[in-house]
Amino acid sequence: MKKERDPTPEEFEKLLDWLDADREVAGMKYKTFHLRLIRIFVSRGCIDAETLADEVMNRVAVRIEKVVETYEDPARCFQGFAERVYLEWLRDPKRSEVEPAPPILLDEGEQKEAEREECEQEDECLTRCMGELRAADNELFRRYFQGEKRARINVRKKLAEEYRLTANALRIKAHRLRRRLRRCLNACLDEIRGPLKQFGAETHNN
Amino acid sequence: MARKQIDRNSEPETLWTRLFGAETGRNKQPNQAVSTDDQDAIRQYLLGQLTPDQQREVEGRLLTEDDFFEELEIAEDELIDERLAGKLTETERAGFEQSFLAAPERQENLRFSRILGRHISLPPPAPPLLLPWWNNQSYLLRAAAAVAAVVIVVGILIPATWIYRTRTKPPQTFADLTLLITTTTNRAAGVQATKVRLPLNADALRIALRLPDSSAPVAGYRVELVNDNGEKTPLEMAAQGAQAVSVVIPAAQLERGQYALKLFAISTTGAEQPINGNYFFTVE
Repeated sequence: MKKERDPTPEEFEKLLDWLDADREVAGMKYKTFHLRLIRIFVSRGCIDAETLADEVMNRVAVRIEKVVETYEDPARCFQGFAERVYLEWLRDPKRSEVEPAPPILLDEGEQKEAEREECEQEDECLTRCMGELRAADNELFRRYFQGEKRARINVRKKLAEEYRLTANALRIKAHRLRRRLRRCLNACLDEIRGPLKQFGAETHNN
Repeated sequence: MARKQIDRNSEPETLWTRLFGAETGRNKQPNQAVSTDDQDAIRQYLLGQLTPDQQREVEGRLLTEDDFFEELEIAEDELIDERLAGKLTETERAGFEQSFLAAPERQENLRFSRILGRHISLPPPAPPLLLPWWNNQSYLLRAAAAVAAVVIVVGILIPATWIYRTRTKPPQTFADLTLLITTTTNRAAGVQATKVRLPLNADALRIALRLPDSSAPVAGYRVELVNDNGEKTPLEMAAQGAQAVSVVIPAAQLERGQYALKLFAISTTGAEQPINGNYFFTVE
């Protein structure tokens, strides 16, 4: 896939102007489109989703003069460019070269010890992160994700009543807490191990 | 895909509403702007089950609607949980493994869910029920009980540990062998098996299996030893790297004959996929 050059500062300024007259809002819009494009490429099975989202943003910026004349809606524009980038990626024979880092070769004893240590670190971090939640949130989170099948359904029904939320509002609340915990766990593990192992890059704006 | 009507007046003005309008504004409190039809569509989208037109429609909304985008994130987590709980149908499971799990980010989310599952299912720490009882006993009784406990531990654990160690002493010396995969299944068709001669003059045979070229990421491998009679024995993995995996066969378990090693790739979901071909060797 042929990579677009980086936009000039002038091109980038024009892109922001096109997104919104308010520079703060334009910056947020830019960031939001970029993050959501990453998620779309991830959903399409692209291993190098971030690179592809960068490519879309660069192409739009570099062609901003023409883009402004052609598109009224930035979302449609980014979607159209994303479609083309995706098709080029599909045809690119080099795409299979992007592979996750190979596992580190360890002997059996070392491997088991490393796994045990990893589990301990993960549990320690999660305990710490759950401890940082408000008591009510901690309780809600634990109860929401505990149990099996019928028991779980009943617990969630009861929880929704207790918290005076609809089933879907409870579900959204529980998952927001879950994402918060994932972020916290990543940060905690980074602290212990260094920023090599992460659990799901956050692509959500709050 | 039906969209649920939203009462725009009920939403507070935020930066998000300024960005994309009231319909897509994010409230601080969870809302229900996404209908069950939308939830179904997102689920199908994640499993790669939508037509190209439907996919474009979903992606258009993902770019502009906050609630719809949040629903995607929730649906991802729920799909992972359902996969771990074995609740997906055959079709969904196939979509999950072929489409959903392709991105490393999702594989990491799967790991996070496993950690969470392990953590949440742990019972909370038990209260120290015995402590009040113990503190109420006389000093003499507590001292006698402590001595008895030490005697029991020393008397049982030390001999047991010694017996275990002497019986399961790991091999100290190895005869090394490296094998390449052969896709021909018939040895008579010209496959020259690598030969190992007995006695081995080592505690065990350590075999490195060179992995075939593959771009598919895997979580691990499993190896099976197949003898002349077709009997299969699973082998414990000694080490695993990017180019090779190695297994160890204790010398005492080696008998003369022809053998094939069969390799299985294990995906991050635990699904096994046999790798085409065999690693042949002969013990003489």
